[in-house]
Amino acid sequence: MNCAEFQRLLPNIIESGGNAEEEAHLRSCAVCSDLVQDLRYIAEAGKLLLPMQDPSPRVWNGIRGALEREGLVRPPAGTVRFRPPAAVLSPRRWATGGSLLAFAAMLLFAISVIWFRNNSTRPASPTLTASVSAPVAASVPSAAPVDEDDAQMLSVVQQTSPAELASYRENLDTVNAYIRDARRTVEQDPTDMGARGHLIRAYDQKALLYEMAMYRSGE
Amino acid sequence: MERMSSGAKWSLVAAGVLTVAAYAADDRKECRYTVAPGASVVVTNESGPVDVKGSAGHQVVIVATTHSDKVEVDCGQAGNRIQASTHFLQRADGPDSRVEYQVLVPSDASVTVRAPSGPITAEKLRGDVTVEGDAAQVDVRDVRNAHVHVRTISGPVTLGGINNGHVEVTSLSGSVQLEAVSGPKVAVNTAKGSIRYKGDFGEGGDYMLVNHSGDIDVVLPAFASVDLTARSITGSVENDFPLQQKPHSSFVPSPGRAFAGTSNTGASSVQLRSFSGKIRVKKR
Repeated sequence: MNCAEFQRLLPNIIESGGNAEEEAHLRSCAVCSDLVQDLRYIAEAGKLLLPMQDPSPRVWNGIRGALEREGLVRPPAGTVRFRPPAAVLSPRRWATGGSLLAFAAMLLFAISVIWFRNNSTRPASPTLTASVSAPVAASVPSAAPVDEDDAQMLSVVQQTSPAELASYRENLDTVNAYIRDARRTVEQDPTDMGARGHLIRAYDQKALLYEMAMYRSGE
Repeated sequence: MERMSSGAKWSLVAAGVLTVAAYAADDRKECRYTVAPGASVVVTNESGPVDVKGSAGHQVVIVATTHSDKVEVDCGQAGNRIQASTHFLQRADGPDSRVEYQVLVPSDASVTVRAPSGPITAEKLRGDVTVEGDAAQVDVRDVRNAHVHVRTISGPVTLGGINNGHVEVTSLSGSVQLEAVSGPKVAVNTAKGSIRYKGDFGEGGDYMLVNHSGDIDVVLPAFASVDLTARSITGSVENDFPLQQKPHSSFVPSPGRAFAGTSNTGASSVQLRSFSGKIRVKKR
């Protein structure tokens, strides 16, 4: 068996191990041996990325929103919600290191495009978060500031259900006020179990708001 | 009719044509499944109402009406689970996206409804009910021996005739009304939505009504057997229901801000908590 024949069978060898002849070639050929070693390393390393198989919808929507603003992709049709490509996120498709690397490359490419565009045309918007949250904050009148997570959640709503944006913003302000009030009281008197109860429930409500927004995005 | 002018006749004809056209645009889909006891039914509708009713028998009947060819309804059965959902084929909003669901289920079925805009109604059920709406108005009635979980963002929630229920309601800004709701566990949590409870709190349940800035109003009969505590951290409390002071209690009353007491045997624990809202307890 020569190297060309061996490398043609490489996917099977990596997946299920080789027969006696292939094993013999592997032992005698340093080039093929190194190649197999590298591929097995990549496959093992790829498994570590499995927990990333379902990235936060904020990531997807942030990427998509930025790509749309740059005119690189078209906005989603109507109320059809944005979903990550099912084939990419399917666990079965993630089972091989090749798919993982493909996804990582795609993500890296998308982030690179966004970064390049933002840095070349919008020096004042150096981060994805800022570029995503700014239109949302500007489009809904509210005195209360929102943090990065809130801005991204609103960004999801803006993209998937623009008609609901004002309502979400209002409810976000409401629940943030609840959290602020409860937190302040707990800080003043840490033994106040009632205030602690309010704080927990306020966060429950915020979780509900996020959950509903994520649901709208198709999660 | 003979005296009807030509214009009026044409108007009638036009109205008739328009009516027929409107009906023709509607598409009614009916799905029927036979299920075993304790079936699970899940309905998801992005836009439009969902109406669920329990009935005798072992059939699940889903009638869905669409108003455009931009949406379709998918129904399916997997074992003892039935699922129906709206599926967008293309861009659709307003009336085009709207689908109306009428669902008949065996009364012991467990029902889950997700309908952001609603309204959602569920009644005559003996299985667990889970309802999630966004701005959806939610109305759940006549449910016994079951869990009732309702979550909305701004949609108002009305529960009535819930017996022996494990009830959990969470809403940010929707108001919550409970009438004749009793059970071992009843918990309502809103941010600025008001909470109104009218009933006797059953015999031996744990009731917790909590909000941030909305009001909490409780109206109960003299025979109610409750161990009641109420506190508003920065708001106020009012009570005109006769309560006996408990000799030993960890709860610290504070005039205008907190009160506590029992009536009859104090069978049910009732905790009313608001951060800045007003809590009022009245005798019916």
